[in-house]
Amino acid sequence: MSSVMELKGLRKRYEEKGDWILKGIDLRIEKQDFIAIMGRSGCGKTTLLKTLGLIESATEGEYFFEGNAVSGLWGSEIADIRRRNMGFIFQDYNLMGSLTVRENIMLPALLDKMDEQQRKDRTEKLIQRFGIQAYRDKYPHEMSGGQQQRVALCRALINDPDVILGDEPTGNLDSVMGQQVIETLAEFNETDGKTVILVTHDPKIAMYCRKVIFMKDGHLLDCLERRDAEKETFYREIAAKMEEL
Amino acid sequence: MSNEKKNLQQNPSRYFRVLTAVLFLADVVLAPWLREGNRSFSVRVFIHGVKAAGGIEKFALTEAGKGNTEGIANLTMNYWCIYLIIFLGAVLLLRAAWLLAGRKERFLSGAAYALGLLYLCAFMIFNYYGYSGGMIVGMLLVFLDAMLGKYLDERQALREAEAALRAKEQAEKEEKKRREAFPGRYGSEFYRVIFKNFRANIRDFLLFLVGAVLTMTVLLVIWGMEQGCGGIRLLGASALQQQIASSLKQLLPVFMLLAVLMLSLIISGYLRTRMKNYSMYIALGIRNKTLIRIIGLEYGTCILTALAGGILLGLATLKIIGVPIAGNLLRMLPPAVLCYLLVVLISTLVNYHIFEFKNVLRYNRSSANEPVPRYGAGVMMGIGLFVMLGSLGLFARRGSGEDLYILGGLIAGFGLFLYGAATRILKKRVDRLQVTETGLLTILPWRNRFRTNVRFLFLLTALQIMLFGIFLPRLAAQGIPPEKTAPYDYVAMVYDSDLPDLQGLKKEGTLQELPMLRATTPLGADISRLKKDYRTVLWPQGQHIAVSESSYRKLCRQAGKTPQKLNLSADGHRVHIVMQQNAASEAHNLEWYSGGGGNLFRLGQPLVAYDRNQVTRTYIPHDATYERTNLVGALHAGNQENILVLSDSYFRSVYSQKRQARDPSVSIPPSAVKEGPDQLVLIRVKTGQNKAVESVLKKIQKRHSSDLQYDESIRTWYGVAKAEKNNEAAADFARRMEEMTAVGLLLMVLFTFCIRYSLAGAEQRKEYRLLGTLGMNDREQEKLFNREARTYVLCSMGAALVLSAPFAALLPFLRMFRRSQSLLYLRNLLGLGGGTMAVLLLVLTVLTRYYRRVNR
Repeated sequence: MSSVMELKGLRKRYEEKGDWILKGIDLRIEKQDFIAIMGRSGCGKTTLLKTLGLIESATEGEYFFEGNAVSGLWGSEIADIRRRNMGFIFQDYNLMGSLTVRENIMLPALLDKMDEQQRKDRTEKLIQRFGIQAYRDKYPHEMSGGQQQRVALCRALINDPDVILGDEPTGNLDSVMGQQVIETLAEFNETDGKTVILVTHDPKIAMYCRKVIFMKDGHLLDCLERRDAEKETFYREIAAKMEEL
Repeated sequence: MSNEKKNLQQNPSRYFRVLTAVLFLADVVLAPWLREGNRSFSVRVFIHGVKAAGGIEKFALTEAGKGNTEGIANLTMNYWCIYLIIFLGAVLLLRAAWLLAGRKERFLSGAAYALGLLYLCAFMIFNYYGYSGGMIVGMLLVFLDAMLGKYLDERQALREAEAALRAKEQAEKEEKKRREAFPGRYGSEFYRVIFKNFRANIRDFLLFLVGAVLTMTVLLVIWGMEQGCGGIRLLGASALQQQIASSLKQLLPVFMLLAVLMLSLIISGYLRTRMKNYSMYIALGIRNKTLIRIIGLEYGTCILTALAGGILLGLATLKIIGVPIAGNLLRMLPPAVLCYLLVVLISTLVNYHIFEFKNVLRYNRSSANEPVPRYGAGVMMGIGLFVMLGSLGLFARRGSGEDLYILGGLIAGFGLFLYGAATRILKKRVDRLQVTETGLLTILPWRNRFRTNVRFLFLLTALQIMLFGIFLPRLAAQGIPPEKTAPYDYVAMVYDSDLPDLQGLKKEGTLQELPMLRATTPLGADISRLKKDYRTVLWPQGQHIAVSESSYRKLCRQAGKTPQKLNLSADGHRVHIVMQQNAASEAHNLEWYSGGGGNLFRLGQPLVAYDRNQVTRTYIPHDATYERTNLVGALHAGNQENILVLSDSYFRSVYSQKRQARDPSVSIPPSAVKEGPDQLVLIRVKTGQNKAVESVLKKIQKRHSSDLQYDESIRTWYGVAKAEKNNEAAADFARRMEEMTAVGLLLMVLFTFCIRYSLAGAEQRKEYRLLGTLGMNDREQEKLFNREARTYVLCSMGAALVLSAPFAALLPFLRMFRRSQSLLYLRNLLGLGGGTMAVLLLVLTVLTRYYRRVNR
């Protein structure tokens, strides 16, 4: 299988003389992977996710996206990748309060200069798929957290990206809503062939993934693969690993 | 065909080298190559001759003669060297064929040049026969082949390199175009959504709009009033016009500085809010160019809307005030707009490059903290203190003229001092702080938003410094009644030759003649040059009236004043200056060219020109004592027509000299016969005789109209009543301007307070919500809010009062108040200051209550 993302010796810090957040990450993500990144608070998982999502740039090391070195790409190309090839879901949804649900969903499509009809069709399709028809013209503050997260999911998927990145997408949701969200992501992975990368601290969410990567202090420690194991078994393995950390 | 081969074929040196080969061969075969006496013969002929003789030995014996061994040897070598030429020709021919075949020929060219050089050397050694034209041509051809051929090669190489570079650039351009291509257009839906987001956040822009509208309005009013008075250049201006222009000239830069501070504060708040939205666009994959366009559109819309609003409001204000707009619009609008754009630009740059260092094009989810600086507190405090004390010192100099620019120095110094002091204080408090202390909550806003809070405090204080230090004291001084008017109806400065006309006026009233001299300051130069070159003369100052000490005493007694005891020097260096102005007028220097303290003046006419690098040679510095009173009439409110008192002996010594001739060492206007008027004539008129007196004075003025061409502000005569009416109007205007400015400053203080709490609203609401969640009750929250607001209000007011006090205290000294006037001034000041403080505190308390409710 071809790799979608590959990191080689990736290091990252925010300030010139600051502490290193990521301290030499080597990681290969294949197409249609379903990965969870886990670790204690402050281990660098969100930074890793943002670097993968091209929201942050690496300080040292190389990052290859679909075989192309990101360091050789121009700003506009990186923006194009972020817009077309990736969909980002945030923990606090990050919807624009001044826009309706429909407008929030189609915002990435508008930025991509998508044809009007195609944009409308896709928006409608996603709204139907996620069952938020009743909230089409509502504003985010008029909806619950779970509904908002579904809108965020729609927004992330409007441009039909190959990769979906989620930063604690179920963090602000109750267990039922959280489960719905993760099941939807699993469905996108299996049915639509999307590569899904999540950051989570919850083993109950991570157990849906096929791979779980553990981080500590900016390093990748270990990787667990589900293979044919049952989710419950995988959950126990993950929980045990988290205990060790 | 390979590129190399193609390049070779296109190289012109190739054809050149083929040509030289052909020409060389033709030269060798056909041209006479050698010479003996009158005979010239070609190579072919030489070889044929040798063959015919049966070989070179026999030929040489025949030619050179038996026994001529040297000749025989030379001739033999001559013969064999000819074969070098033939060989050279063959090499060139081969090379030509090689070139035509598209091959490189470096080796062959090298061989040919070597052969040529060898032949030349050999010929120089063994030269039985001399050279002929053919040989010269042949050698020249070889030389040219080498030099010109090389030049052509190098030129070709350069051209190829250039073409390759161009091709590379073109390829890069096309690659860039391809990689940056983003075909299609943003539909109307895109703009609608962006605009919807913009509109929904209009509250963030509202403060910016209001601030910018106010800025533009005030700038337009200032420029409108300035143009309405005929421009800053006061040619023939009345006292009123001078007052207006002087006030406006000083107000403009001060206002612009405050506007920059205010707008930069607002813009930083607006940016912080908008960056959350911009970060979201970036995360969704917007291109930088698109984002820049969106930011530009939003920002540009606000600036242009504010510009339009400010213009309308400004024009309306000018209309209400009564300033003529039509005819002045083109003169007032462009400079006002330029000043506005400059203020906006500086405020924006202040945020982007000095205080924020944020790249709005990078993803930035959370607003970064503004930490307390680590270094430099002591240095900043030291520099700030030095600048403040320096400003105070400058202001205290007699001759500073109450210059508002000095105040700018004070405010700048205070800014530095505040920054350093706040850093020091916070560091100390943070170090001492225990985690459980409630003081932590008071410190937190400063610890996390240091720069913003310092800027806010600085702006609040700066405005109050201006209010309490300058404009309230000026208003307090306005309350001092004007001096008793001079006991004359007319004051004229005439020549001896005019006296006969004036004698006729004795029946209309009483006349008093006092000898006088015209005194001019460095800036009283020829006005005609001003029209050609504005750099020559800046501020014509007209004339001052120099009199003797005896005349001074007479004038004092007549005006009902007690003359001062003077200590004037016989050499004229120490003089006494009577500033003829009211206590309500700004303190004026005699001249400001040297900063005012030098008292530079010259007895005589204004000059056409003088060497500005040696001004003190022409305009002599004097030591002076001062007095402020009205002896003949406060005709220009202290700007000119002040009285310079010289010692009797000195006055006498220069008086006759100045009456007779012009000073040959300086260039006074050609039409000036001598150095100015001779007599100060003071006229008291019987009732109803004014017209008669004025008609005579006008006649005299016309006679000396050439005097006025030097400086239109020079007057031959004054109707004292009319002049004083003009001064009253000027004073009245000044008072209204100062009232307006004081009110404006008061409003700006309140507005700044509102800006602070409006911008911090969202953050404060979040914080207080969290505090409530953590268990802090309403009462405690109110106390915390009040404490913070009180800190700002009291610290700024306290600092402003402390810094303003010296300036307010200096005013009576600068304006030379008498004791009774000082007491009146103090009473007015305390009343005004107390009242203003009360109003400020009251309104700020109300605002605090409002924001306490809204921001919690």
